[in-house]
Amino acid sequence: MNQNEYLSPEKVSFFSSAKGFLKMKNGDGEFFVTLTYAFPMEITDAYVGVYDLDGNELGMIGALSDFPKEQAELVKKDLERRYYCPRIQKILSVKTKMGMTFWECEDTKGARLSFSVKDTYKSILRINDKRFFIVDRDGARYEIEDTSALDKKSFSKLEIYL
Amino acid sequence: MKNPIADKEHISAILLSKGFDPSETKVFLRSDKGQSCGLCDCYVLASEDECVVLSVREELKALRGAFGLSKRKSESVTEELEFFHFDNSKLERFFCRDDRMGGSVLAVEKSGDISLVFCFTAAQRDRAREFCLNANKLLSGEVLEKEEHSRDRGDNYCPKCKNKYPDPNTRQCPHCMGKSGLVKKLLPFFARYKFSILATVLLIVLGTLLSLVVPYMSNKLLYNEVLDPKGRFYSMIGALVAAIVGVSLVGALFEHINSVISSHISANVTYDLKRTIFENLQRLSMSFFTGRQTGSLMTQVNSDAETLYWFFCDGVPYFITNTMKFFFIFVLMICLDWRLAAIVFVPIPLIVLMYRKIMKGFSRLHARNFAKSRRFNSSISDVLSGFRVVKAFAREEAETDKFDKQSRDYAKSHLEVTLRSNRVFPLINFIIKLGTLLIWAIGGWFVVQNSLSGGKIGLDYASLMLFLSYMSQVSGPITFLGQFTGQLSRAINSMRRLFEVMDTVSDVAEKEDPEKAERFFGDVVFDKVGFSYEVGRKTLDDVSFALERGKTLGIVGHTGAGKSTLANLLTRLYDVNEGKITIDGVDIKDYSFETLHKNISIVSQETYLFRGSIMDNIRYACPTAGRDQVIFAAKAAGAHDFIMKMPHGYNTVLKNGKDGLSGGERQRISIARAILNDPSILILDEATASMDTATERMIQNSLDRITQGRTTIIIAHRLSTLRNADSLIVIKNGKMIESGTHNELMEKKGEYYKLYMLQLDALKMIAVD
Repeated sequence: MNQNEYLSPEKVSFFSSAKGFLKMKNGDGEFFVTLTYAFPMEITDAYVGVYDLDGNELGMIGALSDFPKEQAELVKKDLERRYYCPRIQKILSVKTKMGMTFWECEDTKGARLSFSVKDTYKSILRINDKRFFIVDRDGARYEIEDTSALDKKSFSKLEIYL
Repeated sequence: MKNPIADKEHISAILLSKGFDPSETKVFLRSDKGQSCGLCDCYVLASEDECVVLSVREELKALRGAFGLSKRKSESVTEELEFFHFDNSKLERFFCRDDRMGGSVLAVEKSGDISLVFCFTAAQRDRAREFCLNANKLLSGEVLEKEEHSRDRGDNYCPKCKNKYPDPNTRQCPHCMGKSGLVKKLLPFFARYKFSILATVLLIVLGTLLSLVVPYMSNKLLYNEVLDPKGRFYSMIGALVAAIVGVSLVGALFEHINSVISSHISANVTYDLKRTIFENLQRLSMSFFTGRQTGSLMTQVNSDAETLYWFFCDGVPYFITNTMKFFFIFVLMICLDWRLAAIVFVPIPLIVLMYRKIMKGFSRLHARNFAKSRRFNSSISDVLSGFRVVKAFAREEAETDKFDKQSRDYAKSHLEVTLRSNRVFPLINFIIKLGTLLIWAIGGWFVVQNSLSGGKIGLDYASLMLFLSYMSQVSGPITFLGQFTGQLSRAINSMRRLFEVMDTVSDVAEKEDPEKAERFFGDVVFDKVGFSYEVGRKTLDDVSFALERGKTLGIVGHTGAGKSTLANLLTRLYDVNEGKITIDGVDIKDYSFETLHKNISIVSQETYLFRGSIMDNIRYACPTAGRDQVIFAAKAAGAHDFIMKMPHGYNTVLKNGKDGLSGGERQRISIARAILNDPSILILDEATASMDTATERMIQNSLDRITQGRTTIIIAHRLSTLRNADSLIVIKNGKMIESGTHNELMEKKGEYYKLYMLQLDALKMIAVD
């Protein structure tokens, strides 16, 4: 089977524009870029798609560690901002109305999260036995990193849907 | 322009300290995500000269009073997180970039650089897009009307509580739609049966009273009047038994009549509900059905109607019966002996609470059990449906292991429910038995007192027996009323879902007193038509063309260019956002739906054939068409030959619309259906895409005959299909970039020429191979 071709640090570099936007330089010039994880649920330091602002693929980063530290950090920071996903630390209440569930939770920073979920059973994505994502009706995602780390009350509200 | 954050003095104060006056705001948005600070309140305000973004985190902290007791007062604590300022004179435009979890609004500077303005989660996506639209108007110097607080389509937010509607089509707010609202909606369905309902209630009351008379007869009457020598009916046992049997029979008769009447009312009401819903569904526009599984919608409607049927047939009558029974028994027991009655009734609220808590725990277990069984069943169904793939990749063992794990998981969950039931319910029964024994003991002591005092104090034996008999009837109503809240809750949810569908408003509505026409001449004009399925993302932009009657127009473009949308707009599956479409000089919005659909036939790439015979499917638009006409239409569509080769010919019944037909064969039946309708305007939307070139050529000659003299729009990306078109237009990214005849477009050497040459090269390569 053919091997994939990944972006090489010898031919490509990442840097910030004057206004702080991520850019990539290669043999064809400089481009404002958008980054996308290929495996956002599993791997966050490898397999990153690089696209221009029109959505054309410019290449893929095989592993962030292939690139110099400053560049890898720039890329990582941009990805973290784009893929920011609140982590649920506490589930305060889950109410059912009109076939939807309405969730009140707290994230790891103590901020209050309120969202509603349609088709609750189908909207809870299972990554493994302990890690789940809840997708709300607008498509936003909320992560439960480890169900065993939730307190008893929170877990009891969640477990029906697992 | 008033200050959009006038009610947020602390935010206004922060902005003023940064040099921005909120009262100069022209465009405002409150987003929910900062650039690097996660979820927060992000205020975005744009004036004519500048744009500012302030991210804060606001918390309400409860003020604690003396001794650490919490008071009602609270204070708002605002933490400033980020502040950004943009000079409009340096900006060219704003645009939205969709990210996986929401998006961000970016500003393109005149220098060419790009700045991140603010971020948003998916919930704010529409508002953010609208912000970009309005802010760009500001940058271009356009005068904005009044206030432009970014709202998506205006109607998608509840005017009362400002929350977004779960579904913009139905516009029902789950927070504001109270139970009384549901009852008001349901009453009209029951209004027709008010006399039957009155009869039912009367029968329930009489039946309940009779059921309470029997214990009186078989205890008090028996011991004090029939078995006692001093009694008025001494030794008349036969008469008493006959009376008891008689009363029981009458009671049973009342119950039977009551159940018949309730069943009728319930069945008729649910029938009326289902019919109303189905009628409403027929009136709805395409946007309701897009993105919704319609099969599961009807399954849900049926299931909810079924839930309501049993609720009104069984639940409500039993609720009334048990409530009355409970009340009457309470009164009778108090009359017999208030002290014993107090011992029975005082603990009841505690018992009910305890019971509800236990049932809540059980309902959680049941829900988890149900979820596991669903997952288990759908997993089996998935594997069995895809068994070919399992075998092809030799994954039988892996699937068996997966099945084993899920099966054990489900069995474990099931066992948990059973074990808990076996622990809890015997204990509850034991506690109730203890209560009964206590009443026996105290009541027995009262009887002894009565006997010793010569009947002056205490309770006589017959009264104690009667009391115990009534007491045994109390547990039934308590158990039922404890479970009733669950039943009621399920019924309310079913009602809500049914009314949600029933109240859905079509966003493509027929005009009052619309124009009607027997047949169009077929002059079609698209005048500066603009349309978007989603706010801020144009599918069609400023498309204008005219098609004379009897001529053929070819529409060309890449997949996703917006070609099929033109067909959807002409048939009013959706309405235009900008511009207008006219047929014979009349805006299509002025025509009745019947006129439009009778005169326009569309054959699309996705065919749907209903359950029924091939004949029925071809005749669907024209049920009165004769067999000759059906055969003619089938021949014209190139379907006749393969239909004749089928064992039952035109009588072949199609199950689930397939029954072994290939895509091309289904397509040809669909074309025959459209031809039989003999429309003034025919739209062929990639109608021959599923066919091989030979079949396409075969029916092309027939299609050429049928389209001659008939206004036809052919949408294709295979240019060979358009060889006989009188004119062509090219759509790219929603815009009409070229128009003309084939020769004119080839001379221009533009997009059409490129497409043509690409396809020609592809054909040449195949010829070489």
